[in-house]
Amino acid sequence: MERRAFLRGSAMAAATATAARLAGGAEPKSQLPVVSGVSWDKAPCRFCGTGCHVMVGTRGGKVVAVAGDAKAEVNKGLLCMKGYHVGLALYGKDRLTKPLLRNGDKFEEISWEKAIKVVADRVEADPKGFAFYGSGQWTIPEGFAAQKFIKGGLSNNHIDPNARLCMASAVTGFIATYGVDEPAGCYDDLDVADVVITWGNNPAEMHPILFSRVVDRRSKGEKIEWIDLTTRLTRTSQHASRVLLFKPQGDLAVANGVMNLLVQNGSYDKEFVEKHCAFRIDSEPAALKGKESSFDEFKSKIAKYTPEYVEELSGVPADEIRHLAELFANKKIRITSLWCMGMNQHTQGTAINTLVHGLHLLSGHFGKPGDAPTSLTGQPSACGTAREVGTLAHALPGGRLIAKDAHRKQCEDLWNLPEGRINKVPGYHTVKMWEKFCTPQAKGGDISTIWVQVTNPGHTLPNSNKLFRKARELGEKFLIVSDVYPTATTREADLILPSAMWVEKNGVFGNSERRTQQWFRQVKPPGDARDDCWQTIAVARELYERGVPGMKDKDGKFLFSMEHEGKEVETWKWRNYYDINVDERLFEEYRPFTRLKHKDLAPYSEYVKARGLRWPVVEQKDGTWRETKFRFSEFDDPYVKKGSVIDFYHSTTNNGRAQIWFRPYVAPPEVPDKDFPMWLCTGRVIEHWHSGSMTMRIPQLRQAMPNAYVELNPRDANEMGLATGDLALLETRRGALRLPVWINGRGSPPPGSVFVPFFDERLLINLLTLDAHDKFSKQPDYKKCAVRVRPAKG
Amino acid sequence: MSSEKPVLEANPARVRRMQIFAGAAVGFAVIGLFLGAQEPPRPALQDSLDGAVGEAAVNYTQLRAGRRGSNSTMYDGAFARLRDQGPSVNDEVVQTAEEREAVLGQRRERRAYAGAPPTIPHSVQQKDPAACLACHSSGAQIAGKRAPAMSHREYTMCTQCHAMQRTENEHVAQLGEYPDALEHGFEGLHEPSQGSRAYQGAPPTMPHPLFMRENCSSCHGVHGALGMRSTHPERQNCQQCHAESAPFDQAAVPPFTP
Repeated sequence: MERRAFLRGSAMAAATATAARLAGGAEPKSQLPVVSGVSWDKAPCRFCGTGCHVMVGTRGGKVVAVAGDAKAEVNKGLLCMKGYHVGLALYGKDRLTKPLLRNGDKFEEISWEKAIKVVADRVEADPKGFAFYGSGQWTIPEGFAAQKFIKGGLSNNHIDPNARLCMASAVTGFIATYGVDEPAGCYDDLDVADVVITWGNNPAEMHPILFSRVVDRRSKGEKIEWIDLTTRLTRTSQHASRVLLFKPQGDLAVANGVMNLLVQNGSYDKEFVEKHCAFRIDSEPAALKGKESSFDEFKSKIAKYTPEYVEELSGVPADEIRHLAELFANKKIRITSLWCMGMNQHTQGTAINTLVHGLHLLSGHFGKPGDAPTSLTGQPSACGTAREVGTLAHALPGGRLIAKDAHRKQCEDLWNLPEGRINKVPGYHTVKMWEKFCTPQAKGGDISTIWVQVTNPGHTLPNSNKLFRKARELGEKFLIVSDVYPTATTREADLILPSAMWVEKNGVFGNSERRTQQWFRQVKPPGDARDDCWQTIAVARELYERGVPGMKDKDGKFLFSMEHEGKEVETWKWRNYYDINVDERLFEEYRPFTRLKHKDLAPYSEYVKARGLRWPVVEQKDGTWRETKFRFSEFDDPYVKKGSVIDFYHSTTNNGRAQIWFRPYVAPPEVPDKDFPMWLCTGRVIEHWHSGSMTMRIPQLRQAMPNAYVELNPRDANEMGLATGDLALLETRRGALRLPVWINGRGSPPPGSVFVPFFDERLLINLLTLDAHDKFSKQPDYKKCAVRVRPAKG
Repeated sequence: MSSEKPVLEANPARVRRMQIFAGAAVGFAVIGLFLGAQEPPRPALQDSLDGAVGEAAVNYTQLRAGRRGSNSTMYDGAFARLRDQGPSVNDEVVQTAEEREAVLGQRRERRAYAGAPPTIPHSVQQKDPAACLACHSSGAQIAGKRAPAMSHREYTMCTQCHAMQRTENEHVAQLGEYPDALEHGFEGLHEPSQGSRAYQGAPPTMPHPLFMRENCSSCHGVHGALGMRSTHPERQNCQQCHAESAPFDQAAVPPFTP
């Protein structure tokens, strides 16, 4: 009203009179194109597992701008602060641009020819002791090439990704429940869920786009109940309808307590369970798939988890357990569970993963849009590369296992390798690999060389004095690191190889919702930095030329031989590497592997056109390719048997059923005692991504969060005489660290516990963390160990 | 453990304290709470009579003296200014080319490139997103400080995209700059300082895309900085005269070809 009155009142003349002063009073000039020379192309974001798409603006061979991709279903044009600054990650002034070889305490620049020879020498000297430590940030073709090199070439299986530290328990949880990895649902669930439960998860900072996708629905008037099960108050808690603080490991009790009430009250989904589920229990000796159980056995075992007993174990009030059970008993609402590191970095990680799946199955909150147990990943291609390509010590591409004769044979056939080339003994998983690397050869430490690509184990391995730094003292071990910036890992390296990153190379990622995403190289890498995939192929070629038999297929051809118009392209020579699209060749070689577990991928050219497609992507009668949003549900998944509504077609019991597990509460391996009386939890903050090697070089993010700190509860801080800004000394049985105190800062831990973010390489909290790990997934627990905190002197 | 929730209680208490203060100073004070009131200096710990340790209470004078940052003095004389009606659409807008350069320079300082979400130049109460909306939902000007209205529709998580220009808590930032990373070689794309005109007196085209900048008055309205403010803010249908710049808009991006 007022504004209209103003409109009427304001004189038109005033506007015209000032027209000449428009645009700052400058004399109007005729100018043509608004921005010249800027070209835009798509790419998935380089950071987390959400898989947002960005538009990358380049000019003069450099990235100059980034925009949220309005055509992308994942993020619909929006990004988070890391995504908006992802283009800056390329331009830290200390990019590695030359191969560097250690000479005493110094590094010397060497040529690529020499660098490749040094790697080849190490392989030749001890092919069985050569290991690859890779990454969930490997592109699909990079991981596929490394996988083929180690398993199809060197026949030793010592390849494992950092994803072991990140989502291994999610994988074992999916396999133990459904017989096949990765979520059934997708992000579309978040648009319709009535209840969202975060299990030890803080998506407000770690997966902000998914978080805001839900909470922004409230702005539109939708009602969403958000239940935050957490061990500390976070930004996610700020938006939660109910915050349920639980004692570390109490999540096991909570899940059991809710399931027990559903069973006792008869409010579980009887029809769903009878038609689609079976019951499972741990076997002796323990095996991932356990042994058969029954509803009656499940009911009697779980009976002791009464709300009151659960309160005793977890600290979550009995009434809140009852409320959760009422929600799960309500068939009219849709419930989505989200989890990430809280459930995966857990010595009972497989157990808690199977329990949350079990809760959704038992209650029938599964397989309809909005009803989904959804595991989130932290890395952009933890799903695409680590899990689907299977760059794990026990796995082969496409969900296959080293241990299965038929699976090895299939891979040998697809790769055209002689029978028996793939070793039937699984390689070393991450913790074991680094343990062996840190043990003298004479004492059984049979890993002599590790080649690290696209990750920073010197920063992120737990208990890193034991698992990383010790190797340096031995003298006989050799560490090769391909990276883009100096890190805690390159500092200990013997050979550093400068790598291309993100849009400096072609790539394919696979995100948390089974979406495979392709991009093209848009700028050139700085100096002599080169693609990781090229590095692997160049080393393989050097070995081939030296006559190492494993580098040949059964017809005597080079493992990575690629032809164009009948002639072999010398892709191992950098100048020829981009003569053809090596990514496309490797992707097409990989595609047939994906059929076994119905994770079908479309041809590369389909991904060029799309903002990612969710597998299985199945060809239609008219030649188009259709993605699948809801797996195992007849209305959407083409592989579901007609008329079955829900069909778990990779069931471990071969009858279309998913497994509901009984898993008891188990106490954590290290609990606070009189010497180390508090809990230590580690994690991330919104500004920084993992070890900070990229985000700490981006001014806008570094200035917002310049260093690590320790979060204390005000009561504890008061008792210790510590205030915000004071230095605290944190000690565990494994290491000690001084950190500035921050009270009521980003997050707030309950009394008796502290939190430290792990991004800061000057304040390496992983010197203190525990290397105890889950017995099935081999994933360590970074979220709980015992710590002593006191004021630091000086 | 279940009955002890001091953390949960601590923050509401702080917010309540702030709300009482806010009630007294009405509108301006609400803004003040979130923008200007930073953490006061820590008083020394004192032994109380029974030997327990506690923090001494902070009085209002200490609170005021303890404010830091660019907005710390914005409430000085605030009551006197309450009579000030603030800018209106009827005000004549006189602005210079220098002012335009200055405001564009400030924009660039707060954005890595055109289209990046601006960093936040003041401290914020991170725990309550509604705090941002107190000033930024419709825009405000207080004591020469401008709080621009959001240029985009309301999202719930402001700090998802907008990073703090400086750390939230200076006490915690103790390590100085990150070694070896002081310099940065990114040169962001910045939009031209003005749109193009077909002829003298023609309405200029928009020199930037409209995505996330649907609300023109955020920068060009009566609360806009001089140099960027429209001379005719009463007109609300901007796109009636001003054409979009196709090169910036995603819709205009050519299809991908391998």
